[in-house]
Amino acid sequence: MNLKELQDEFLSSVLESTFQDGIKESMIPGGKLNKESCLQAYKNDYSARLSSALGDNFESIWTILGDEDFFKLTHAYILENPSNHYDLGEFGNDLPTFLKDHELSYLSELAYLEIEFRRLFNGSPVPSISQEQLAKLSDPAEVSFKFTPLSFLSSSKFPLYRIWELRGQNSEEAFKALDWKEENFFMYNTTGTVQVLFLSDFQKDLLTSLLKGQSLSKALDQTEDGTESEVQELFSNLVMNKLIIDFK
Amino acid sequence: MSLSPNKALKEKMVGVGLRTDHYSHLEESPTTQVDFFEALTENHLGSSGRPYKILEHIRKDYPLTFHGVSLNIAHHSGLNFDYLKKVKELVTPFEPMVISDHLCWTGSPENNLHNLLPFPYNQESLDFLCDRVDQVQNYLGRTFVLENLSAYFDYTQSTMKEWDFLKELSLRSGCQILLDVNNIYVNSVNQNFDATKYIESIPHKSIAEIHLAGFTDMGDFLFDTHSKPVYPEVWDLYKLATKKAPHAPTLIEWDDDIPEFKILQDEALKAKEIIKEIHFES
Repeated sequence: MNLKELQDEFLSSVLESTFQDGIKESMIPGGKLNKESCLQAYKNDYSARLSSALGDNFESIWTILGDEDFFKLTHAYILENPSNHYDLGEFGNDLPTFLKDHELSYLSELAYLEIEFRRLFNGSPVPSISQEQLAKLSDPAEVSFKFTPLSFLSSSKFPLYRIWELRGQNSEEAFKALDWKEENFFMYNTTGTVQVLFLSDFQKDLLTSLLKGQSLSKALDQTEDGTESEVQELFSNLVMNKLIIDFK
Repeated sequence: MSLSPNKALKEKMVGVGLRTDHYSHLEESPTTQVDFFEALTENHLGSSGRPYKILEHIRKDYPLTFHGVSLNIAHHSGLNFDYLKKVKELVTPFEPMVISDHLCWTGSPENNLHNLLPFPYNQESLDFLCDRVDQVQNYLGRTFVLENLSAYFDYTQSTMKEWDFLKELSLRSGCQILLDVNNIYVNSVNQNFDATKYIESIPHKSIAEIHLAGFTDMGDFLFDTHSKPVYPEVWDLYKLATKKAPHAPTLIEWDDDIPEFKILQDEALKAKEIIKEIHFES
């Protein structure tokens, strides 16, 4: 067998349920291993590495499910989604879709939050425009703002951020004590640290429109039931936390 | 970024692997007794956040080396130049002493096994790898360094000893060798060969760096886990390796069950003590 044939057979043996005869005939196992146990060691290692990567990348899912259910999940995911990227930090990017029909309906959103958190954590903050530049705007209500790409707006029926915060903790009491109501938040990285702003429903709707590039006046026209203080609070936070990077 | 000099001071340097567990400690710029840090290339690729900032922070006071696991140089499908481009962009600003990866394959483009896999040591592999090394070195514009791996089997298609293959590859392609002494010991037990013969066979000028780590005895075989202190048998082999290649910096690797920084540093100090005994007191 040539190099290509050996490598193809080895891959098939690790990824599929049966070990290929060609690779078995070509192996001289080390230690006290036999050919089957040697291939099994590599097969187990593959599964363990990818499970471990999913554990690192989706710690909150692991915390919620516990070891047994989490590793059942990773086993099923790995079977359907072989890794095709050199970076194990990228493994699991289809997990939110994979979890769409899970009985815990917030797991898919939680998995997506983990992916977004990693994106923000690994990103380099973008310079914002200064408060002085904003103060010079003659008619700020008609301006369209551009926000840092290192941000993520979440709106959920579940207390998603509070659940995510419990990752890595073995605290059933804290989980039970969560206030299970809907939650809106804006996660961002403008200083090298990932931070979060909690938003009212009105602020979330307003920010959604602003993120689409609509001017404040147009966004307000389309948003209901807000107060002036909510608008002021939102804008103050957007400015103070350096989330606005441009305007036109 | 102001860089510390990257002198030919590699000689008799001892470093440790830079791991996420120690970021908070190292961000406070403690005084350490190590001479350099080795970054795992993949931990920093694609990041401009904390994993990148820590490299900038460390590089102000220490030289760096970069050690990858994803080059996949021995897979038949060809090099991933997208990966190599990212590696080049990442490492260039840091003027690393050494850029290395493993002499192995890790999977196909469609199925990455994320493992360091052996291939047959024969003429077909040698010709093929000399060409691959040439492509890598031309692309990066510098000498590339390849590490001998730990493997749990060999192939009936092998016609050369691992150490003869490494020696030939280095001499023909101009690449250098990252001599992992722990891997040599693990393989020598698992595959029943003389580890000292291995080290003696590698030309000293081909050795660019030495790695040390701990293994786990699985009963049926020794497993290269990097989760324990360096074993006495490996320290003994290290004496031979550093005597042979005094110019090569030494690196302590610890990747699982990572201890506090002081314990890692204590392992580096053991290596320094051996260097002192061999090179300064004899």
